[in-house]
Amino acid sequence: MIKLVDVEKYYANKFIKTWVLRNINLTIHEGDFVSIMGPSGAGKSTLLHIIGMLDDMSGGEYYFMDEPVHKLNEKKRTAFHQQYIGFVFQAYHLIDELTVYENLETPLLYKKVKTAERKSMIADMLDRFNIVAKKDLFPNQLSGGQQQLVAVARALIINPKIILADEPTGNLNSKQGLEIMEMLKQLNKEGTTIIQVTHDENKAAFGNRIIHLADGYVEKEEQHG
Amino acid sequence: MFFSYIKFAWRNFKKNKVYTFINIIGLVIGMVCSILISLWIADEWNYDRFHVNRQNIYRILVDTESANSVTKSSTTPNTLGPVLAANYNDITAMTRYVGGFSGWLIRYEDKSFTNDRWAAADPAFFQIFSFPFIVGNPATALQDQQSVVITDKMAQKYFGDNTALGKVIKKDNSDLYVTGVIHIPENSHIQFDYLFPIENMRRWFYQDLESWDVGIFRTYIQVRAGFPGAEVEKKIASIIPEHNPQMKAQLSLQPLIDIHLRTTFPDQCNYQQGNITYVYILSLVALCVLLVACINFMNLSTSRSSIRVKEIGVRKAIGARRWELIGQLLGESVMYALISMILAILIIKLILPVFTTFIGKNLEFLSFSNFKMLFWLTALTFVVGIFAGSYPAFVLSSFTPINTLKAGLVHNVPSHARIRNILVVIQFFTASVFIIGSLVFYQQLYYMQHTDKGYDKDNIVYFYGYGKYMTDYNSAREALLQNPNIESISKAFPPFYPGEEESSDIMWPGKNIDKEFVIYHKIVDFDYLQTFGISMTAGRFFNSEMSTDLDNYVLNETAIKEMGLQEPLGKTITYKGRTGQIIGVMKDFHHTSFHSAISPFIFEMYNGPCYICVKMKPDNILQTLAFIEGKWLEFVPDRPFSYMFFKDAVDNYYHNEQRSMVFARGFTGLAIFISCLGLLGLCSFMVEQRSKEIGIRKVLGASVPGLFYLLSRDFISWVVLANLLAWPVAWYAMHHWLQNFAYRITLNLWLFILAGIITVFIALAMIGLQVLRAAMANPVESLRYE
Ligand SMILES: Nc1ncnc2c1ncn2[C@@H]1O[C@H](COP(=O)(O)OP(=O)(O)OP(=O)(O)O)[C@@H](O)[C@H]1O
Ligand SMILES: [Mg+2]
Repeated sequence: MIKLVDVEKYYANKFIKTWVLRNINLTIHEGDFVSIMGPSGAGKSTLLHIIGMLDDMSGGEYYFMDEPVHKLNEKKRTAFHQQYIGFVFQAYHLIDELTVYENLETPLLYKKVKTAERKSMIADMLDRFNIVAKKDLFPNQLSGGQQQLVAVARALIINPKIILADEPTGNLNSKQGLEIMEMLKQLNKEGTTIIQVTHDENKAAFGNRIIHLADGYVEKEEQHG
Repeated sequence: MFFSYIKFAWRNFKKNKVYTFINIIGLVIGMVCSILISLWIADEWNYDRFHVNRQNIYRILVDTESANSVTKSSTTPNTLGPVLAANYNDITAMTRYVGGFSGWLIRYEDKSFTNDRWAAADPAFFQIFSFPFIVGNPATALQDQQSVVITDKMAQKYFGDNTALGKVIKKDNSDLYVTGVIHIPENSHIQFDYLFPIENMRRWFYQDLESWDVGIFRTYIQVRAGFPGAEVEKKIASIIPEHNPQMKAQLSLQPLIDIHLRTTFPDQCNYQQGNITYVYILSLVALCVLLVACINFMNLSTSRSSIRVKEIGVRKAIGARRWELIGQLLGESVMYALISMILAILIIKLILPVFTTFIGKNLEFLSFSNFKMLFWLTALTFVVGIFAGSYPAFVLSSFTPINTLKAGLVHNVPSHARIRNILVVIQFFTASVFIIGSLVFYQQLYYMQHTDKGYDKDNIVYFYGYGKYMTDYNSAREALLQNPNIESISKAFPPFYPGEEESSDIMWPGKNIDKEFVIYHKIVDFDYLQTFGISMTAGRFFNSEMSTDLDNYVLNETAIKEMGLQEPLGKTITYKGRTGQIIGVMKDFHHTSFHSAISPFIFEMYNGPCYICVKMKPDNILQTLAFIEGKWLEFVPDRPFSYMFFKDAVDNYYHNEQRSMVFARGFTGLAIFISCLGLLGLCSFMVEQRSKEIGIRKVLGASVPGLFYLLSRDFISWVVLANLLAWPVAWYAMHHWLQNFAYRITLNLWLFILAGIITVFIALAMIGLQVLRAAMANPVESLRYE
């Protein structure tokens, strides 16, 4: 489903190039549950952004469902966002001016889902994440953890083929964190491809592959059952 | 989707009240100004365009070449029109016209009036011009010598509701039958209350209608539809010298629709002549005010948008198409424009009555049947909205999502800051040009109003001397002078410019007869000099003791200079066949506005009927006027007393300037105000954005002046740059404008520097205000967020 060939990323600052990712070769199949681990600053978020087509690569090739992303125009990428990709940001990135309900509704609006269907999908999500009572609040009226739940819910609501989650449980207690992980695992069983970034060994173990990043390189890869 | 955008925009409005308010206020003011000015311009522009034949109607101008220049005039020889119509097939109709003057006594039954303005024309007048007839037949209305066509206003005044057709009014002892009632739109350069056939000018005005001398009529012709005026002009150009070798004059044609705005010489039409320059200037002002408001709006949206980049990034990441983002951002800005437009329309509706009385014009605004205007207003709304929202919409939506998501990244994107600086420069550039322009404008007007014109215009009233003033002027004069508040009394014809007779029929020893020389003629008497406070440079003025002075002449300095007379005193000259001596040279005075150079003048005495000018002491004017009126009832029992202040007539020359001045000053003030609003918005935003930095710096011990310096440093250099760019532009524009005046101020460098100081000061004040606010705030406040 995803194939990265010699992907690299650097920030050019006047005369100095700062390398963030180098030499990344990676193939991710449909149905994989991949965990990315590594020290802070290793380039995990950057890699996820590139896979999520939110950031440009400096070099290399990237195939998403056999389409060469590095050659695609914006329109096509947006279509991928709408149809296939659910992204959970490390910093949540909810829209401040919209309520919880409206934040969940927005991706569906862009996807042009019919009103009745939209309503039931949102109700379902609110229910699953246990945030029905918060649906009319604005993000700044929520705790950090609650915001994170909404961010995850927003990624799941479009029934994406692939979920990219950047530390989706960083701000939750272990019980809640495990619940989310279980939910992802369940989705994975149903066929959704999942790539998550995490610092937590236990949570990484939910995946069938663990990729260790260090200093922009793939250090090693472990396979699980 | 649409509804959710509206809701979103509305929350944004509420969340940023100050910003919303500044944005909308600026736009509303800009729109109100530009719409009001456009209404005025449209009105000026539509002068005389209601005539169906407007494309084929021309007025004939007489171009007289004199020693140094070509003088244009619209008064033609009396017989020119009929001769042209008879000899040229391309000319399908012709009318002579004179009028717009009041003062004749008209009676109907026991009522009498003198304020109505008379006019005379040939029968084809109503064939050429399409003044709408309320009753009567345009084709036959002027056929009979005793017919008269009156306006609806006059019909109302004389006959009330009764039908006017066929009624008889009396001018002196002649009967006139009303054959038509017409309406004259306000934007017609031809204005009168009643019009009679031109034949009557023979008996009432002693006009020789067959004369080839300079006459009193204007001549209008209608050419075959589609026939080029230039062709006609070529054929008739040199017809005058063929009939009157004395008059070295060429004819030219002036299209009807050019008369109001493009007549460059002072026309004697007795209506408020327009000036295309002011139409241009005010168009420019309207455009600039609107532009400043838009730039303002754009500026604020742009700086504001750096806060919104995160939202835009998120929307992109969750599947917003680019055009949807552009639509959303443009939509919001169009919504601002729409709200502003609605407010602007309401405000205009409210202030239009005040505005129209102020400019003395009846302007119409937005009746809902007026689709054209609705269309323009809607178009304006969209243009403003799209123009102002274009930068955020197109640029922000193009960023890669992650760049917009990483807070702080985008407003370090160089192009973003650069755009904002460019906007600041444009804003201050316009403000600076405006300030300089209005300062120069103001200076020139001040100069014109306060420079010694060479005569006194205050406390002088004038009226036409009927009755005893005609039959026994001297004793009437003596009777008035009994009042100690009356300083002096003089005859003058005409009392003020225009109206002087122009003639080239003058001879003096040493005249170069190949050169045409035109001189203006004024009738005066002994006390003219004293009454108007004019002085002599050589010789003496007319003297009541000298009976021979009736034969003598006084000339002004310009005349002497242009005639090339070395020792003028005692020289014999012949004016219109009468020979006399030059007894004195009068100091030049500005007989008309500073637009025109002083013309040569010849003065002579005359014993007949004339205008009477009375110079009063400044105190007790009202009593003095009452006294004069009392005497009038005694001397002229059969006419009501009507008079004019000389000053009003003179100030009329500057009417255009004065009106545009008030316009320009008001609107410049507003433009500056809008600029300040924009700057305030910009500064408060900048400070807000840097509030975290300010907070940290304060904690680290920065002083308020230090912070002020930090924030103003960049800004001020942009403002200074804007000024430097504005100076040459303003200099060029104002230099060009000043060429309109024969007498003008010189452009001063300090004006430009002053404008610079004003703008820098405004910028500093605005930043200072914001810095104080930020510095007063508790630093923890600003650090907690973010
Ligand atoms: N705009 C930028 N300019 C220069 N360097 C950048 C930029 N953005 C990120 N980097 C660098 O890229 C490297 C990788 O960043 P990234 O966010 O991918 O790390 P991470 O592995 O997700 O770390 P964490 O676990 O703390 O989230 C960092 O060293 C960071 O300094
Ligand atoms: Mg990270």
